[in-house]
Formats: sequence, structure tokens, C-alpha cells
Amino acid sequence: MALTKEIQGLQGVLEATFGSHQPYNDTRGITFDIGRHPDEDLVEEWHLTTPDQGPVVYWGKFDAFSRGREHTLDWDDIDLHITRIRRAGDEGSPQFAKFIRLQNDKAPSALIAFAPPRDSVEWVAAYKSPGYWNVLREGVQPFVWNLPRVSADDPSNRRSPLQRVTITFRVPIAMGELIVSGPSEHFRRPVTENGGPHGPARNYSFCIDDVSTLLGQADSSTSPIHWHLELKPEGRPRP
Amino acid sequence: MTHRKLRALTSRLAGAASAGAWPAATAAAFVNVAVAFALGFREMAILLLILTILLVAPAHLTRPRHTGLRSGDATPATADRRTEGDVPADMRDYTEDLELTVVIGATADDDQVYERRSTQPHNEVRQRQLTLITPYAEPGAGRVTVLPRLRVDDEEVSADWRPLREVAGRGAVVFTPPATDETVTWELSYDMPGGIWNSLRSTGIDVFRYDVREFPIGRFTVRFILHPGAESAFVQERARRGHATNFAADQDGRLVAVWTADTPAQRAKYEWDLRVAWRS
Repeated sequence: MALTKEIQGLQGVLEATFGSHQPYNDTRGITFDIGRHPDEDLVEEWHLTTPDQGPVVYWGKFDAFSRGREHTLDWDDIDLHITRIRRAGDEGSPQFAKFIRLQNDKAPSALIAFAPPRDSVEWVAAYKSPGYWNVLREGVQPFVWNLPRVSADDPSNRRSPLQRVTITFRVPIAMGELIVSGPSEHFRRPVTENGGPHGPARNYSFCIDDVSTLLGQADSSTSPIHWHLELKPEGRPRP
Repeated sequence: MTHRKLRALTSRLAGAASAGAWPAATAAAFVNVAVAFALGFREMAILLLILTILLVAPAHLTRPRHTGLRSGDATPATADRRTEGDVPADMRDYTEDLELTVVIGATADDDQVYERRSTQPHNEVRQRQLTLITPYAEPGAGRVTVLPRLRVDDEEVSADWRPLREVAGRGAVVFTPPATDETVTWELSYDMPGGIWNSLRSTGIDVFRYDVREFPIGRFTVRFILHPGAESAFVQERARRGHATNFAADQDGRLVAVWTADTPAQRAKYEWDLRVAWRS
């Protein structure tokens, strides 16, 4: 009992100190694998984390994607795997990115500790988000992402630790074509085809080169990314 | 929050004081300043009271715990391991070269420690009190009893282990006959029920701590031997003392690194950071 309390206290302290303080910049590539079934919904995030203050970066942060209140995820659901990509010349020295679970109410979040700290760390978070695309499989699903922000006491002039992000929706060809609407045209990349975890798939990519342009005014409460996704079964004409 | 509010109040008071110092201030303005003063003081008195409660109460509550930690009774809930060094003997009675070999096994049962010690007596040495390498106990874990095997290079000398009951892993090695002028080389070897390196096996990260504050250390060597499941490994003493070789495979396919200090810092605590990438 006392130990559980201590761990909860520790998580709270980590969340409030390191979790909310982001002296790093992040470039991300997020691939959403849209499954035929809820348990096939996967997410893979590639991160390149570099220091914003100081010569090296000691930690980053992970937040699992969930649809919010009606889509709660647990640590057991997401089966998180973090891997750090080894840099050339580091063969003899183990490079780790270890995660420390933080408190979470609706979706798991974690502090990612880098051992050793470096001037740039590449790491990948692969996890499941079962049921993330449940609404899409039935009709139109909004894709809403309130991008990560720096805390109020951040000494830099940044709005977000995130600088660039590429979002890819990977849809098995058998599930049909994906229609993405909303203010996303500007970021659209050509559709590509390759093999996904659920067979041959199409990749619908959106590349946001400068996240700060999306964030608007400091007190803006609008979600910077609010798109609508819909599947059109093969053979039916595009509207 | 409380702090920020207090600071705002203080600057308001400072502002009011300097405003009052201006001879050109009108009577109306002066009344406003006086009101600000009165309000400020009342708010500040309440805030100070709250602050006093906040600051003093936890200090009282936590004091006994801090004392406990300082005296070394509390066992932190980490998997780091430690030895507490030896009971202060007369530091002038001997010097001792120490060669530690820690074998990090595939399972907890395979962890092994060899402590090879060369004791050069300056006066008669009847016994050596020392602490074995132990894992940091998890809270609630029962005490384990370890019986080290003892071997003395000189067949004329015998050595016996006398455990000291108060502290896990602490005991005395008694020499018969006592060492007088010739160097005695002897070896302790043991394993630990439940293992020593569980954290390193599961997370690949660990800290090895060793305390030589209570005996006069000569040459100091630590040999780290990893079971063949290790792909690559890294070790470094935190204070950059001594010198470690890179991990390299021995003839059994185990990665081995040797850390040495010929003239180690005396009365010091050593801490080695270990990182191991295990084959999946």
C-alpha cells in the first residue's frame, strides 16, 4: 500500500517536472495503420529529438493517441514498444530509450529517458490503439489533434516542442480509398502503395513542415488539426 | 501560486512606498495609497500565516525520515546495490589490494561474486570486518543469510566467517594464526539468494556502488563478467576514477571488462554505471 502511494507520488512529480518541461525539439513521423478490426489499429511514431537548451537531450515524452473520453486506453491495451535507433559509431555502446509510465486519465503517457543523453536521439514508439478507427469503419471520423505545447514557463519563444510532423494514414487496399477533407490540402503528399502489417496498403501522407504556423494566437483554443476521414469502398466513384 | 501572489503584493507595497515619497502626490492619491497599504498588510498577514503552516509543518513531519536516511537505516526502493564498507578498524594496521569479480548470470541463481584480497599487515591483523555485495532489498523482502566460502592462499593460515547479525551481509573474517608481517592473500566467494543483478537483466541499466571508506585500499580492480546473452555493454565510474577496458568476449563468449585503479582515491564511494544490450 505504502509503495503504491509512493509510486503514484513519484509519477506525479515526474509528470509535473520533466513531463511538462520540454527543453527539446521534436520531429515526428506518425503512421496510423487503419485495421479491418478494432484490435488491428496500430500506431508507429518515429521521433528525432534534439536539445532546445543545452548541448544534449536527456528525455522526451510519449502520449498515446486516443479519441478521448469515449475511447479509453490502458497500458495493457497499447503494448508499447520503444526502441532507440543506434547511431553509426555507437556499436559497442548500448543506446537506450527507457520509458517511465506517468499518471494518466484517458490515455497512457510516459517519460522517455535517454541513456546515454546525446545531441540527437532517434527513437520509435510502436503501440496499439484498439478501436481508434471504430467511427471511420462505420462512416466519417474526425481526426483531431491538439498539438503538444510548451509550458508557460518555457524560456524559449516556441509554442510547441514539435517542429515538423508527417502524418500517414495507411489503409489496406481491400478497405477502399481514404478521403481526407478539412484544411489539409496544403500538406498533402502523393498517395503511395506498399505492404503494411495488414497486407498491401495505400499511404495517405500529410507533411507539416512548420508546426508553429498552425498554432495561431497564443490564447487560441481551436484544434490546429481537425480533419475528416471517410472510406470509399473500391469501385465506387469519388464524390 | 502563493509565492507569486506574495511577490505581487510586495512589489505593490514597494510601489506604494515610493509613490508616497513623491512630494507632488495629491491628497486623493495619498488616500488610495493608504487603502492599498491597509489591504496589503491584511492580505499579507493571512498569506504569511498560511506560508508558515505550509513550510513549518512538513519540515516537522519529514525530519525523522531524513535522520533515518542519514544513518543508513532506510533501504531505498531501487535495485542499486551497495556495501557499506567496513567497521572502522585502525586504518594503520594494514593496506589491502582488492580484486572484485562480479559475474552477472543468465538468471538470479547464476550471479556470483569473488572478492580476492591481499592484506599487507603493518601490525597484527586478527580479523577483517567487511560487508558483502548485496542488492538493495525491496521493501518488505525478508533478510537473506549468505555464507561466503573462504580460501587462503597460504595453507598455514585458516580463515572463518563470523556474520554480524545487525546488518545483512556484514561479518568478520578471523585469521588463525593472525597475520603479522607477511601479506595474506585470500578469497571470498558467494552467491546471493534471489540474485544481485535483476535490474540489469530486466532493464539493461544499473548502478554498482562500492564503499571503501572504512579500510585502507591499495590497488583496486573490478572485473565485470556478463553471461553470453549480452550483445554489447558499457561501464564507467561516475567520478571518472580509474580506467575501464572496453567489454570484449572471452573464450567462453562472455563479455568481460576490467576496471582498475592502481592508486585509488582513499575513503571514497565508487559508483559504476552499467548499460547492457541483451540479445532478444
